[in-house]
Amino acid sequence: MKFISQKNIKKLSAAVILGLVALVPFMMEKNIIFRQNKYFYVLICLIGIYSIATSGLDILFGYTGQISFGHAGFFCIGAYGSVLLSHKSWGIALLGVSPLPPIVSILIAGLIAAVIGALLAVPASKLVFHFLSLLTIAFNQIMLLFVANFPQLTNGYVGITGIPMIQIFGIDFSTRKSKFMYFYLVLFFLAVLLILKQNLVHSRVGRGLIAIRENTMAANGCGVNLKKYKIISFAISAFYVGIAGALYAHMIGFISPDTFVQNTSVIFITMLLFGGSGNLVGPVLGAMVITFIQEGFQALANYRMLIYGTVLLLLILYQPTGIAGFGKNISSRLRKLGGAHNGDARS
Amino acid sequence: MAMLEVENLTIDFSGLKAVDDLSFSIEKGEIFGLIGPNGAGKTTTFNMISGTFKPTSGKVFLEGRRIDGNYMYQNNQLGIARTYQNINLFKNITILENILIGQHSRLSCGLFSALFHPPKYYKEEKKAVEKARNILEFVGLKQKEDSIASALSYGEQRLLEIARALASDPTLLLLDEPAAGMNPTEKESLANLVTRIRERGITVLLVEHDMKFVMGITERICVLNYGKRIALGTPAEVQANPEVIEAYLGRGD
Ligand SMILES: Nc1ncnc2c1ncn2[C@@H]1O[C@H](COP(=O)(O)OP(=O)(O)O)[C@@H](O)[C@H]1O
Ligand SMILES: [Mg+2]
Repeated sequence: MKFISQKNIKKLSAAVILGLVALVPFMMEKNIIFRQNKYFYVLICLIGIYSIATSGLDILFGYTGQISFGHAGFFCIGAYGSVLLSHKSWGIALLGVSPLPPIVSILIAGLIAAVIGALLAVPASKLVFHFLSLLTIAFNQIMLLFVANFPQLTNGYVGITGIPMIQIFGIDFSTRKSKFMYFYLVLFFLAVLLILKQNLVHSRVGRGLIAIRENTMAANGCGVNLKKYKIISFAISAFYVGIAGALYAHMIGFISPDTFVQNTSVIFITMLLFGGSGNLVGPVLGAMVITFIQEGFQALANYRMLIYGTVLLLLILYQPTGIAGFGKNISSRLRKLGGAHNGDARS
Repeated sequence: MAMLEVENLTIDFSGLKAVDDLSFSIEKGEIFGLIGPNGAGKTTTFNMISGTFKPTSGKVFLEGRRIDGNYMYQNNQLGIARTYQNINLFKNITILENILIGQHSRLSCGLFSALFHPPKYYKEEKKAVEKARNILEFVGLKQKEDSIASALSYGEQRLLEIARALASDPTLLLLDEPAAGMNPTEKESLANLVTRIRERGITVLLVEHDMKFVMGITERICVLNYGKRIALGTPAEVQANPEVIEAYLGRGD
């Protein structure tokens, strides 16, 4: 029974889950569930976008072991980057260059974020936990100040409206009225980026990152160029978050510096730790749960950071593998109960 | 040409000369011992050869090529692999994955291959896994390939460090107290392993505390005390050297 290898089962279940997820907006549109709740479309798009961002952060934190409290800075670069490249009256339009189609500007914005991520990694590669936290927080602030202080280009704190909607081959992927189709665009990006992430972590390059996370000294001794691999990790991570930022901007249709404050970086980390880092589904689970909490408890907005802080602390202390880890624990316990011999799980 | 040549190597830790004007050279295919009481500077010497520390002065040559001041990852690419006195494994991943990381310098997969997995990716991975299994078989950890590194016993962890070092096809292997914490049976099979490693054409530099262990398998030994070389010669010569006896007895080792 070679076809039903573990690998194939995983691939199959991923495809099934993706198919089911893809059905949700369709069923909504057909009034089978949630009865065309327009707001719900926005919510599931947001979950997809945050899943991309959190998966990107996971490459840096979960796989390379490098903390960042400044990833909202990359989200900001992606959002403003794409908007300034595609808007008909802001950004390059002001310089007399004709705006790009959003689907192109989204990719370029991702690449810009990657380049800036690589540049940030040069000083960051020399720092460990505490100092790295400070550096990334500073980076987040600098990005905000940068956007806020060039009002001629970015309209400063007032923000930019009229962000172009996305049209590909004449199909509207987002309209003012409904985000029904936009979800499929987000889902497409998410699927591609998750496949690339999975490929990366099962390769020589990904193992280099894991080596750095596990033991920096030994990684160096095994031939891993620490600086180079940290730069790669920062750049790829920033690319993901940049793409997410761009998708966010074109969906919401409005951006201002407020969206990219420090709190947003903390939310990314919360999602990652909550869902579980260093694996494929953890970041998606985390994005899902935290987005629901975030949107469901608007009334508690003032206490949100307090709640996240507490949740983070509890997670770090008691469940460092997140909710994805719960699943794994339970399944391995069940296997043990079932008497299946699991190699040698001596600990 | 010598495999490794160490010339007037000195390192100064803000006033403390942990290694002081040390010179020796190792021939190709030799098992060379570096011994001395605790704190003599053996690990520090290792660190300067492998690239963890940059020496304050002095030179290191690998097959005639100057390597002092290189980073560790560069020296690994040039053919130096090492183990650590205080085990440095990739603890939370499997034994097999540890060995795959050990092959880093010898694999070619770049960022594009890593992201898009073209056919050559699969070819290289398949070969790498086969090679990893061969190495695990060679050191006697074959049955453990899927267990997590931290689940191994102390002695097995030391073996895994050696296996991971071998994965980079070194020409020079540096072993820092590989027998530490091992029982007599494990020590015996370790001695056997070191001999088999040499039979593969790999030159071995062995730091060891256990005199009996070093005497049994090395061809030549360099003795350090307070960072200085106090003797160099065959095990028999070194054992008979009064200064060496004094150094070991004097410190109650
Ligand atoms: N990074 C360091 N900074 C300062 N002193 C050090 C450092 N590493 C080692 N030393 C000192 O150098 C001396 C030699 O240490 P080491 O090489 O570890 O000895 P050995 O391996 O022979 O037991 C010791 O006195 C030790 O305290
Ligand atoms: Mg030592």
